[in-house]
Amino acid sequence: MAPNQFSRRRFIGRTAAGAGLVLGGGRLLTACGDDEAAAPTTTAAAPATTTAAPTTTAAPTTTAAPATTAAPTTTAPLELAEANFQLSWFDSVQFGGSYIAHERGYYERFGLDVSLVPGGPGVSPDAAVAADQALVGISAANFTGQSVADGAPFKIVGVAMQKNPFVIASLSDNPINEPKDLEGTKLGMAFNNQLDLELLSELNDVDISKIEVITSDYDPAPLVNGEVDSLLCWLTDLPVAMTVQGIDNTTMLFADFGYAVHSQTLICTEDSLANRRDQVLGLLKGDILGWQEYRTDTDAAAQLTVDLFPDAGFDLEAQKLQASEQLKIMFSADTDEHGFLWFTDESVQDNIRTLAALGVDVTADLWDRSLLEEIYADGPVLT
Amino acid sequence: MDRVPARVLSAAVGILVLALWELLARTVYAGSYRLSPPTAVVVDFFEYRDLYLRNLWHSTKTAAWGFLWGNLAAIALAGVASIIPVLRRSIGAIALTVFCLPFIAVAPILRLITGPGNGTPITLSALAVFFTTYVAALLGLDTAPGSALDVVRSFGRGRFAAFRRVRLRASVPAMIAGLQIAAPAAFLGAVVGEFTGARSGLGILTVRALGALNTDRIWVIAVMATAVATGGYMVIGALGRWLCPWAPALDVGAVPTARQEPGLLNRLAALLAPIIVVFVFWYAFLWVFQIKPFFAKTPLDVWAELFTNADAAETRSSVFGALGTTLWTTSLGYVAGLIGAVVTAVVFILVPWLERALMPIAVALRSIPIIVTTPVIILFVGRGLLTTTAIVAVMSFFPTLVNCYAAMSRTPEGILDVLKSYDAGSAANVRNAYLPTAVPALLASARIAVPTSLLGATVAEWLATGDGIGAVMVIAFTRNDYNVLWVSVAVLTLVAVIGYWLVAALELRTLERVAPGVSR
Amino acid sequence: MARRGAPVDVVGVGRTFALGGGEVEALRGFDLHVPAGGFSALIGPSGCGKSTALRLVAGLDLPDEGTIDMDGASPDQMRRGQRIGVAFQDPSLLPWRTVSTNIRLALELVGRRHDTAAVSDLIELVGLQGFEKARPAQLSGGMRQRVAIARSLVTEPDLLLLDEPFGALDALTRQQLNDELQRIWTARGTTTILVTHSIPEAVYVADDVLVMSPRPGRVVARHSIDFERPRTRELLLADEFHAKVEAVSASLHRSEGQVVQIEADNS
Repeated sequence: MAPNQFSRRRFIGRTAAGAGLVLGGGRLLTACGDDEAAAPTTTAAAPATTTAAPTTTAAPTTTAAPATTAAPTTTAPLELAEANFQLSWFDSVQFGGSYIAHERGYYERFGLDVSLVPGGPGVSPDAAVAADQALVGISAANFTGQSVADGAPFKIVGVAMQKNPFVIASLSDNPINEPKDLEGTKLGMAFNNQLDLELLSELNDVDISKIEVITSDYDPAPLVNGEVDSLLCWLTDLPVAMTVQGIDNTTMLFADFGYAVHSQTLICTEDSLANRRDQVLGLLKGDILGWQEYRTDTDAAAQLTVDLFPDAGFDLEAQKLQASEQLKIMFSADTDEHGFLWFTDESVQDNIRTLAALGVDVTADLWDRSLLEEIYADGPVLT
Repeated sequence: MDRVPARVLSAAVGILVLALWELLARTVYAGSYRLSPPTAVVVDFFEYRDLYLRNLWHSTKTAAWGFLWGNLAAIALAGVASIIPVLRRSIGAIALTVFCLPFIAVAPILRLITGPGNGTPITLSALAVFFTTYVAALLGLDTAPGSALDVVRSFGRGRFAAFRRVRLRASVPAMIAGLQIAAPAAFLGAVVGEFTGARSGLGILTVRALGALNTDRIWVIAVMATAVATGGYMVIGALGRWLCPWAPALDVGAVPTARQEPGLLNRLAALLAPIIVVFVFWYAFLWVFQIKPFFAKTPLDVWAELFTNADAAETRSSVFGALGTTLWTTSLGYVAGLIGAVVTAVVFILVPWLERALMPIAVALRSIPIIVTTPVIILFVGRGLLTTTAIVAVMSFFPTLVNCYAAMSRTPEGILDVLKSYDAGSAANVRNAYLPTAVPALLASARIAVPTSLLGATVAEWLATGDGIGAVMVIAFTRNDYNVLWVSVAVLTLVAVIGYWLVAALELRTLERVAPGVSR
Repeated sequence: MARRGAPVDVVGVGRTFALGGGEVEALRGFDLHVPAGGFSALIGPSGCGKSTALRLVAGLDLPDEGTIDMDGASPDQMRRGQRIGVAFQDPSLLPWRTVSTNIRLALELVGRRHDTAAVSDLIELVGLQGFEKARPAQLSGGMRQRVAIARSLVTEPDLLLLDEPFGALDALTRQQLNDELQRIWTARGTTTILVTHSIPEAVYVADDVLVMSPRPGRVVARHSIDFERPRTRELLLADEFHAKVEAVSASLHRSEGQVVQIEADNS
């Protein structure tokens, strides 16, 4: 990656964010009353439209003109379709590939003006998609399965995390290496993971009554303090935070012990799949290009994330580590063979079994691989 | 001690607290990732000053918009209720219902309407301020001097002229008192709103810092949020003193409830009308925003989910079971907070130098957003049922303390002199003068504390303990189980409204006995 | 008639208050003598320290200089011995108590909570029969004041201190209560000091009328009133009554001109 490109991107990130702050003030009024989905995401949309213009010079005037957000099509020669992409959590390098796609204009290449919408504890991506506030959302098979069981018309069209990111994290001098080790220890976890723990125990012949569960919010401190012996969390967040703080820790992936639940799944409604198929297809293609690039240089993705979101106060090292850790669960032999986002029939069957054990009854109809089959018709790498 | 200026005492106590804090953080809690020493907090603030100020600005701005819209709506509706008294009960019912809605469940539903962005935080913030301002504004409009109103009438002018020339002006002190309480509430609404997906703000910065083991950052945010909320409270207070120098300091917490009309039929109407209005409002809300049936549940859906659906029994047992837990922990904390507040107010009355040293701190702590309080409380009491109880206790403690102390300090001198002339001791003074004088303030605080305690409990259950109806709502939401979510919201709101009514009824009975001449 | 109660001797009392950075000298060289069972009225221009003097005698405040002696006891000892009854312009009733429990309050405070007979006697004495269960908010101003006086008397104090208790009432009610007060005093014979700014009232009820100078206050004139008791309303029309009122009025006017020597008027 050329250094000049690099610094230019950083510059874009900064100005865009700065402009977004100013813009936000003026837009609050409308954002309150109007059902204007795109309004707050202008921060992210601004650099997209400017970089989309395939001009070679990165003149500050073009990049610093986020006024174009009001009418994005004026600068782009192509008629772009607007689409919201609902992320599953607050911004972080967890979505690094999508940021790359956004910054590099990969979505535009397929005719889309995509707004990346951050999530959070009060956001259900499934609900956002069902309410037509997002074309595509990032969810997980268990949530989507439950929604579909309740009558929501969703399809999973791609799987970004081949392995479920749940881990049991422990300190290395008191490690939990396999589920059996949990017996006789204290485990800290968020309250809505009870079923997941029950399933892991059942699959691995663990007596769950011998685990003392302590409710904790999403925070490594109880483990570090010795209040608990382990934490149920994601591979890519709390363990990374501990490593960055210099605390040796051990992680045990649920996915390695029979717990098969697709995570960071891309979902859309059946209606979109039928009537806005090109747009969903374009979004997936742009995203794939971004993630392919991400894989080649996770440090750059981390740097981009830090630059794009100065208000988040990211620690660059933590983002770098998260970015590389994430590769372990996002790419596999299957994706190398078929392409990123792919899911095999076999993994779908595993998911159906796991979900049934979690009390969610789904069929293989929940998954739709037709878009991926179309994208990867010529091989597992999109160019 | 009595001769030392209050400012010096407060400063001394402040320095003592800081020193103790520093000491604890450097010794007992060193390396615990729980407590940051004040020095580290200051250093971290200056190292990342731009980051903090940007996020603070974002949350403050959101809160300011919510504050503006919420208060405008509240004052406008209070004006309508004042000019057209027939509408008063209905508007009041809607305002109270809105006040009793559980934030954490309303946020995701709002997000479905406003979409991503600042709409939800601003709306939440506006909802958070609406009720208290409405009550305060209406009180202010009602307490306009009757003689002045008669003057307007004697010139042959009508209700509207009286409203414009007398009522509006006379209502300013009460409104200011309402706005003072609204400032921290708006901030809380904005911060909770950020959880519905934001790119900036202190709420998400807190969540990020918790996950990243960045203890210093959590404490910097806590200090900033406290400063801003307290600052808002004080600025509005100063504004009030500047605008209405003639008016005594008011506290909306001490606003008495309205008198009930006599007669069975009137009472029945008084009871039914608000219920009908709330249901109409519910349907209108769903219809206006055209929410998809997957998310939108009507009163009938809620009824079906509770009583007639196949899994109704299951829903009932999970919702009511969790509600039981919530009510138990909440009422413990509620009662503990009220009793603690009264006891502390008595101690402050009897030991004036203690009051001068600590009261300014109590006034500041009253405005701390609960999101910030929670980690601190977890630090001291750990996690579990006690956490919820402690958070609720803290939430009801500070406002009640401030109101009760204010009432006690207004105990008429004459009564105290009479008691003193018989050489009555402290106990007799407290029993015969201070406590009875504080009863109206205590009951008014207790009434307002019912919904805020339940709000505090559900936030605590969500953030810290994972018990009770707060957890049921979050699980329902993450699983997209909108039936259970709406059932929980409806049940919890109903409980809060009933609790509010019960305390209001008690208040009315008590005031009828004591009033109208609650010792001038 | 059996005279009860303590004589009051106040000698050379001074009292200065700090007020917003400066100082206000309320009393200087204040002397007062009331014999046991006597009835004295203190009269003077507004702000002359009448109430301050009364509060000092009641033991509610301490003098900066001078002595106050009551039968060998200090005001504080009298107060602690619960031998004082006070009533102020504001009746200072507890709004959450009824007429009878407000009166009983004083008994509770001196440890005689169960003396119900005393309460009903006093209610009868002040003419509030039938209102025992009423709360202050349901009473007229005059009735509230009667409750306050009943409360101040129910403990059978040795000293009764009244600070403009009828100041806020209309003339008719006021006259009625003056009659009551005289009757009660005649019946009980308690040493009584009444602070007032109504000259006719002072002349009507008291044995002695003491005129105070403006701030810093001190007694500048003393008028003995020796009309026969019981005094009736006819007295109000009598020439000698008017002469007395004129005399007091004249010394009050002179006192405002800072007359220093003490007049003795025993006409």
